[in-house]
Amino acid sequence: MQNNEEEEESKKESSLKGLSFAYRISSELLAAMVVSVLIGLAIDKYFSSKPIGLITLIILGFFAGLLNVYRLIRRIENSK
Amino acid sequence: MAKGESPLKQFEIQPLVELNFLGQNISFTNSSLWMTITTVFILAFFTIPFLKSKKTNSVEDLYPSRLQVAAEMGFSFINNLIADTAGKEGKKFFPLVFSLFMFILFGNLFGMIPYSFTFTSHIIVTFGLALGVFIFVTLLGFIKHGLKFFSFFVIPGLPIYMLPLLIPIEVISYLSRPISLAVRLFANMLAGHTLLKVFAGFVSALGFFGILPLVFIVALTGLEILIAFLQAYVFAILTCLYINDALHLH
Repeated sequence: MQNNEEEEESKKESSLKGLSFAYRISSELLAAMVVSVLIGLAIDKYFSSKPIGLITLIILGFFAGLLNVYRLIRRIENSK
Repeated sequence: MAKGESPLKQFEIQPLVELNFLGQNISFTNSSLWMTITTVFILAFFTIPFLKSKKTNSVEDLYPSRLQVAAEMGFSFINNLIADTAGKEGKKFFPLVFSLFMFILFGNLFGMIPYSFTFTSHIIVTFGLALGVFIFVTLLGFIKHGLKFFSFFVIPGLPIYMLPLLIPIEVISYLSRPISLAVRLFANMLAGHTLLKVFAGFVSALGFFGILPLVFIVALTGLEILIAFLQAYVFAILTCLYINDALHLH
């Protein structure tokens, strides 16, 4: 009985950890995209190169988001 | 919650004292009120336990009061956090991390009181805090390393022909830090409080069976308090990590 309760407790804890982990990863991806889209729009405005700046920056931003997520996961793996 | 009220109504800013300064609206709002309450509470929490001066010379004077133990626990928690993440050099920045952590933590916790206002559920507040951290960390990097700080964007041991591609990616990744900090705290608080209000609406709508969402709300409130703590912790630990990055490039 005692064991069962403990197991349930640890299960709850791990699902909570998963939730906060998911929030962190999604916010990292989102933030990189937001920044790159803003920079892309600014570049297009000043150089009047309408879609090119935005498209390039979106691709770069996607990779930047992946890089952020990769670093986050590596940090978590290291701390284990 | 009254019937027909939106679950988002709790986030509305209401001016309590209308103020105008050079054509700018600087009214004292419910958000400012709760920020003031939070700040005053933190000040009281960390001064009152240390004010007592019983001069009875009894053994009981040696025991710290409960409040003092709580305040010292908060202190040593952040102290250990900085020592673990930013090392010895990071100790200088204890006041910054500590005040950020306490402000966000008590802001989140006061937001859990019914009829109160959660100022951390507004992105401009969290973004203001995150931008402050970002500017501070960037300045710290420049003061400490001068122009060598730009080498932060270059991964060591990389072939030169990869640099034009990877430097923009690194710069975007660096610029995305304040936004990811702000969005994380704001989204957690906004989502949690909206969910609570939505389920509160079900309670009155379902009549007798409203007891089911009521039970769920009780569980959710516990979860929300945990998230309030967790998000303040994440904000503090990321500030420490950014300070560490600025102090030790790579």
